[in-house]
Amino acid sequence: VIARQTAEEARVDLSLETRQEGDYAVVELTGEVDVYTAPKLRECLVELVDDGRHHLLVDLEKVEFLDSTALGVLVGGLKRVRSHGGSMSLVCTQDRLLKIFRITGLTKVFSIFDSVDAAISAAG
Amino acid sequence: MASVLLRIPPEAAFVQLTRLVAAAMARKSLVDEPVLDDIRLAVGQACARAVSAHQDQLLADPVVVGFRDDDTIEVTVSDRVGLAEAEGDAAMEVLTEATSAIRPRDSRDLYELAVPGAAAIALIRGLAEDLTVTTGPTGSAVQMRWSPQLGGAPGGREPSS
Repeated sequence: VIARQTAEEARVDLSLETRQEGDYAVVELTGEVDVYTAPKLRECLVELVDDGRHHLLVDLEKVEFLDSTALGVLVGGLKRVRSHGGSMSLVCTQDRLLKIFRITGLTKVFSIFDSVDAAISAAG
Repeated sequence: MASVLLRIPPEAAFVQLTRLVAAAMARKSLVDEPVLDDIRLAVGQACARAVSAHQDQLLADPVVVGFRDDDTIEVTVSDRVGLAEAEGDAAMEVLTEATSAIRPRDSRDLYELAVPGAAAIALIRGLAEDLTVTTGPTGSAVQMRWSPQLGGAPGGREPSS
């Protein structure tokens, strides 16, 4: 497990933790992803892609809040991995977050799974 | 009736404060938890849009957020970015176009950090039970309303997939 949380990230109410599961880099988010904290997520996704990890799973199960800025960063991440022939899926079962993806039409853009295991199995 | 007026600097760090006040107003009105989530997100989204618009135009003026709890919960987010004068659907179009054009000025490849216009407006429209937008040369106002006694309309405006 690579702990990515820094003192600064703790102050902005978002922590990110990454780990490798097979071919996939799993990014586990905890807290709020909004116009203030989304740059931390973007930085993390960019670093992963720059490190050559082009298959990403973003785990939103511990996310308490998410707005359109976060959606923009996720879409940006998806574009970035796809440009390298990679993939990015989401893990989310929270109704209030799924509703955001439905309202914005992004359920048609992202593959969203109930668990990390389910996402990895589906990629099979 | 309770009312709260916030004047926040156009900085992303203060958007969270508006969400906290929105949640407090919603709890005080005893709305259901899903409606509270809608109110919190819609208000945060409208404020994030306004803050991003001020930053984009290098405006130091505060974004003004008015909360009123009467028969309905009413939240009005006002910015100072000059746009074409319009009301109703026309104002919504003006606001959507302006929001989509917002880009951070201090970035090289940060396009996705701008509040994505279509998503921002879709969320505000989708989550507010009633919405009134006005735009003009001295700024825009996004007024959102929810009726606690009706239990809100969570998901009522979600597009069918």
